[in-house]
Amino acid sequence: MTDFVPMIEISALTRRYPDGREVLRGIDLRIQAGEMLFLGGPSGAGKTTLLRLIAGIDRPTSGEIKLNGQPLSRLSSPALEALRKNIGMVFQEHKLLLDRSVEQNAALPLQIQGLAGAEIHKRVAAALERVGLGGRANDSPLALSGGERQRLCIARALVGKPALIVADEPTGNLDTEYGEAILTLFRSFHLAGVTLVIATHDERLVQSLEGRLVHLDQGRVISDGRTIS
Amino acid sequence: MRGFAERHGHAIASAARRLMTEPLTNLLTIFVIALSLAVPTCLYRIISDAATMAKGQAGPPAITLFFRLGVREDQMSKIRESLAHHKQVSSVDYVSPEQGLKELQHRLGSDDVLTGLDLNPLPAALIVHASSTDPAVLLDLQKELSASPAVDQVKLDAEWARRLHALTHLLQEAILALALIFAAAVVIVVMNTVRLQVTAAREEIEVCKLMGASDAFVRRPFVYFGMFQMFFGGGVAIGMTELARLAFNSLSAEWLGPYGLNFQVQPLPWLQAGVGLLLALILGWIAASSAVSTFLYRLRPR
Repeated sequence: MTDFVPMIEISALTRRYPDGREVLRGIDLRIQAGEMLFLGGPSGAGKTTLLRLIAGIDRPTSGEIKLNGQPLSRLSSPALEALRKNIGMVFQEHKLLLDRSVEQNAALPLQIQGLAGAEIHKRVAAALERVGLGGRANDSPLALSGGERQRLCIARALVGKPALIVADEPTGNLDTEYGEAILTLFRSFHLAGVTLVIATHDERLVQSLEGRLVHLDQGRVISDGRTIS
Repeated sequence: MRGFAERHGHAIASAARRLMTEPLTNLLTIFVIALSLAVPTCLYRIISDAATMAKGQAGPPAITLFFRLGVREDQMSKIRESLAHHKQVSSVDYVSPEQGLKELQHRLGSDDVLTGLDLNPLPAALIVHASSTDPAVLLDLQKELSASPAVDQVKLDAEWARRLHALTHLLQEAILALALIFAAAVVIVVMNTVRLQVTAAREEIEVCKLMGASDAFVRRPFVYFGMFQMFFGGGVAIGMTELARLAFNSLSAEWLGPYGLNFQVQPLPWLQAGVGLLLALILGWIAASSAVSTFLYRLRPR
């Protein structure tokens, strides 16, 4: 049997905050490239913390995360920056820049990557079209509804064509119509070979997409299986 | 190359936007920077030009060289000739024993005192006008002149030169110290302004860092912002210096003119103004870079 190097390999991972709270307690996970993994569990189970650690935003208290065989803890700042450029992130709290237009928000990852203006414009227009915000490019995010902001956040995550998408409650604020559109979008990414790690409470999302479901509770993995779609 | 130009273009546009966001606050900051740069510049210009004028009024310092009695004419001419080509000497005047005697009689106000003498006891002399007022250079020249066996005595009248040199040197050092204090103040002002801008843009910086932005990407617009402030501050400082110069010259003509003195501060040379602006830009770059770097260091995951 061939033993593939997993895209993400998490071993004995713990995260304790300065106030003493232990949010993750000895997590072991292997996520293969192209896999769609849902992180389920109640609030405070450690889903968001685990996503932040995978994206290299936070550092573990102990244990290790390897991305394509490379331990994150040993990466230099430039290497970590290069890694983050290849990760699309959808944040629960959106993290949009309210003094910039919808288009400028979606263009941010491409500007960071140093792409030329014409290429940025083309890719941003396509991404906004895919999430149904094609006609809102010049609007301020303040003029968008909660669901539209969530979709803008998703457009910003996919515009850089990342190999890994890390999403925290991506359908939390979406109505049924756009929720379905986003599900279709995630399905198309999955089929294109993009690895997706999605923390969610949304049963509809979990049950409508075929993938792996890992349940966390009190910082521990309590089940690891397939979704029933 | 195009990507480089676009990155810097974005950063410059962002810095310009930040400058325009709070125009009054930024104008005041630019004014404070300009004042801090203009005050030492004006003082330095006045002191330098005053020292030059004082030297001009007093004439070049003179060294009197007395030949031994009995030194031949050709020996004296040779020494005089060599001094005329000396790089520290601007001019040489020969005073014959007869001229010396006449001058002495003129100073004493009587022809009778020396008429009883059979021989003129005065030696021939050279009045050597040095090109420098630096006391150290004058002393070296005095030693060099004394070394000739034809020379009996060398008298250096350098007390006024020593005093003037010491005074201008002290004032220039004091102004330099003042300039350093003002430069430090300017750096602190720019650092503080950039720090406020960075704090206001905290969310934007955090989002950029989450998406893999390098420190240079985050730092760039703020560095341009700091450099813009210093550039405009430097430009206004040059204008202020020129206005102050014109006002000073007008007052100087009014007050010193009746005493026959003409003291006019010269305009700031373009090269000095350019170097000053460049230094201001460098200070802005240092101040802004350190303000952003401190902030970015705090953002790093631990």
